[in-house]
Amino acid sequence: MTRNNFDFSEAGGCGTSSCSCKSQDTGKAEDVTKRDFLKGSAYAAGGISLTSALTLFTFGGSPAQAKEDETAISSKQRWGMLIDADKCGDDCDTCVSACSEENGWKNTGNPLTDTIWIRKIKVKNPETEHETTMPLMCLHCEKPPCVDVCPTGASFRRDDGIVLVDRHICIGCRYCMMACPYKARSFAHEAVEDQKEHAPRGIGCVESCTLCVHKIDKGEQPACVSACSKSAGGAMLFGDLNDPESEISQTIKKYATTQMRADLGLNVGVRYQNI
Amino acid sequence: MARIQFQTFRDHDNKFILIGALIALLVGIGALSALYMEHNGHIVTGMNNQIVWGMPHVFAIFLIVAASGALNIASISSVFNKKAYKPYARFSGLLAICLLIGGLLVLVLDLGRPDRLIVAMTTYNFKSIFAWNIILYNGFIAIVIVYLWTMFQKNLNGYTKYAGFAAFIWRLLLTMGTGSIFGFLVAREAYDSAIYAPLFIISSFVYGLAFTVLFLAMLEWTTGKNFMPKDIVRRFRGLFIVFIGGVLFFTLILHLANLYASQHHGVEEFLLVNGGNFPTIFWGGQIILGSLLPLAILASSSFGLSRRGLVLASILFLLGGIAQIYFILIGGQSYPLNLFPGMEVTQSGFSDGAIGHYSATMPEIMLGIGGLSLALLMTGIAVKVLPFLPKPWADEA
Amino acid sequence: MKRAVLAMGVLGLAIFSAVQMTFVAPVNAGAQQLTEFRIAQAASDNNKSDKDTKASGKTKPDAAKLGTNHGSAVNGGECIRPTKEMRKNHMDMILHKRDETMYKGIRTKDASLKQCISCHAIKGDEGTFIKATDPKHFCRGCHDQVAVRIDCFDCHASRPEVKKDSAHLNPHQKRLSPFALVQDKKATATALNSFLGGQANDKK
Ligand code: HEC
Ligand code: HEC
Ligand code: HEC
Repeated sequence: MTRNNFDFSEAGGCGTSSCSCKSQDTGKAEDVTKRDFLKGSAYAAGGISLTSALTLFTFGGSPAQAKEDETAISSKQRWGMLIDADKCGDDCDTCVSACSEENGWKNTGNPLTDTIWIRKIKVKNPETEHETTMPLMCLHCEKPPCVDVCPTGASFRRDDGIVLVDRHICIGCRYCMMACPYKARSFAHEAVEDQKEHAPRGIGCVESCTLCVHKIDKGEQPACVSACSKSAGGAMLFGDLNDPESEISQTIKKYATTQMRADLGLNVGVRYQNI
Repeated sequence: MARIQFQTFRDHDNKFILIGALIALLVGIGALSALYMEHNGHIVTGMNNQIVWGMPHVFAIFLIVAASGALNIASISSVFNKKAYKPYARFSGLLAICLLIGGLLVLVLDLGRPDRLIVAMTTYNFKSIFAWNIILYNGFIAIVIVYLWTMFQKNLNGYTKYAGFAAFIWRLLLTMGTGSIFGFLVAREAYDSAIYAPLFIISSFVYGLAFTVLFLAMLEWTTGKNFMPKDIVRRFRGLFIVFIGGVLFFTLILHLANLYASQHHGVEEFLLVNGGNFPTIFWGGQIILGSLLPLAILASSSFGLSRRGLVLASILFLLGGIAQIYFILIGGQSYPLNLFPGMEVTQSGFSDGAIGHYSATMPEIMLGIGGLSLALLMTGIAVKVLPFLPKPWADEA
Repeated sequence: MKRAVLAMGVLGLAIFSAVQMTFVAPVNAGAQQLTEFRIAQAASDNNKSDKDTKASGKTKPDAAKLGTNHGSAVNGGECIRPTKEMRKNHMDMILHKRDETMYKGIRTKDASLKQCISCHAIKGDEGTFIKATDPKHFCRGCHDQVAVRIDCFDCHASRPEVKKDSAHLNPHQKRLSPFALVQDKKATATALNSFLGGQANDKK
């Protein structure tokens, strides 16, 4: 059974004591993220692309240090991503379908009203005719305009740099969508059914890429990143921008990278290479 | 000048009731539309992920701007001490409150989760101009109520001046705040301008006055009595000419300034020349129908000084106002975001680089009209309950 | 003039209550019932009754069934806190947990909504777990009684995840409207069951 599926015996065995629940839980998280390769592959075989444990090790670094479940996040980290456009396949949409699968949003072919957390775009330099393709999602700005404009404070930036919508206090005014320079957010225009347990989403609120917080908090990588490295070009590198030793920081130091709309001075967390 | 006599509005004929019933019907349809939208979600509107604000916001912004403008008459009378406008001061305050409530209701009912209104009222992000606006709107209602109170209560009349001054400052802030909603959208090229705040202030004068004139004209029509003496018609005409001149001036500056910055040429060309409906709405709707034509009417020394000319001009000003806000709001959103300056987006799973498409659906239009109707209905009821209106003037042949 | 001021107050009040009625009334309507409910609860607690479901037994049409149901779902376990405490404090617990998770990334199981749902899952006639659209859902038993409306299940899965069951849009599924005081529960339930049945077939 995967973790995503609840387990009666385990839940029942939890008993009244919340403590036993906790320790059991953390123990499990460590299992998966730090040590258990086999389990990792079992996950993948189970049809859910939780290959993070694998990719984590193939990358050699430790992009997401497994966090204990009960410890709070801190600003010691700043999660970010580096996307190498050269490695991004022309017609590949592995990252998009992985995100859709992980977070339970569906592209029904109507991009105007569908929820789209991540999409592929292709841009052309009109002078050289050179075309580049890449995925585009919430770039998790350091100074996010969506957070500045949100009247209730539902748009917020977590200490570790992930920009989220607290959909418990989002009133659906859509001012953040007006403010976002990247059109990264969508509005849930319709009622949603059969959501993923770990990714609640529903009508009337604004939503966007969460960088898979639910996975990051467990020391795993975002679904798009693991899918890309597993079954596509490996164009996406996830890691801690605040850690000078991390692979992402090292790469950014060594190669020229681009911040989309750098002129706006938002210092985005998702950067690009070779565009 | 004799002491101004006020009245609770009684001596109307059935036409007044009939108009009221019609307007109440529109309010009802608006309420049903809101319910329908709330139940099905925004999928039943024309709004989408690119044009995120649509018709309800056009109406809401229009009404909110008009509300602050409606207070203008009262301000002129108590802040600038122009006696001729005193008889309309109370009514002006009332209209301001009602228009604001109508506009706010539309805004609230369009929210994705109107049931969380309480969140909007209790949780503020003070960095957000939107949050400040919520405070500005509530404060406006409170201040104008105090202002009205000082006008109604004889022993408080001495304070009218101060309350009026506070209300005057507040309403300038309010309109500026509303205009600034756009100013903070750095990434939307059409809104990248500081001129929206003054433009909204001067536009508010036009809309507010037009609403006032039309309401007074309706009173005259349903009573056969004189609510706008010649002198006032002349003054209103003068105000209109100055205000609409201001709107045209600031609109000109807005577009000239944008044309000056070469990175904005694309959006200006889109809005003013080749962007589908938008050039028509701008040139035909706002400029010709909503500004130049009424200006020509008012400029004519015979028709422009007649009541009929004033009423016709007011109607045109309001239509032009709707066109103006629609143009600013929808036009500005339709132009695609510039994700990669200097590059062309050739393919996207989310219509990047494409012109936005928006066609308003019936429910959202009716929601907007419902809000407008509610404002008028509340005004109509209030004047029957309280002495907001002056006693009609004797006919002057 | 006194009259004038008075009438102005009345006008303000009218507007206020109009807004109030639109948004808050459904909950307010239940306030009275809520008080009665609490009294009933207290009474049943004092009756040292071991059957908690009895608390709402008087009013709940199928309380007995509900009891069996959640009994089977939880496999005879116990709640995360004493039942008495749960009844009184469950909202504070989950709401607190909600903010801890949202803002601090604390993802322990304790008092998370996921945890409640994993245990308090009720099987319907079809043998599949029912959703919150079904009035028999555990979280609706009491809430419907006291007209407390929670919107949690607009977004949150209201039953344990069924494998490979991805989210999708269903145009016929309307959300619980805050305006809707009366919901056609039976129709929803049947529609739902046939929907679920159909889906199960599709999947297999
Ligand atoms: C508009 C959608 C939406 C609604 C409505 C909503 N939530 Fe959530 N909820 C979310 C999202 C999104 C998360 C974040 C999940 C994550 O980060 O993994 C979340 C997380 C949570 C969590 C922490 C995760 C967990 O499973 O414990 C709790 C507790 C929670 N919500 C409780 C509630 C309660 C109680 C309500 C109803 C009063 C509610 N939510 C309504 C979207 C929603
Ligand atoms: C380990 C399984 C389990 C979990 C997890 C669990 N419960 Fe319970 N809960 C039970 C059982 C069993 C009962 C019935 C206890 C009894 O009959 O004494 C119960 C009773 C309750 C009651 C009282 C019901 C009544 O009829 O009086 C409430 C309320 C409740 N739970 C809420 C919650 C909430 C909220 C959560 C999530 C934070 C939760 N439970 C998590 C097993 C669980
Ligand atoms: C024993 C009956 C009972 C059960 C079972 C129950 N609730 Fe409640 N719940 C209540 C009552 C009563 C209130 C209202 C408390 C108040 O308003 O003070 C409430 C309020 C709430 C609130 C706060 C609502 C608000 O708007 O303030 C939330 C959230 C909530 N319940 C969640 C749940 C969830 C989730 C479940 C299912 C796991 C559940 N409840 C099951 C009785 C129950």
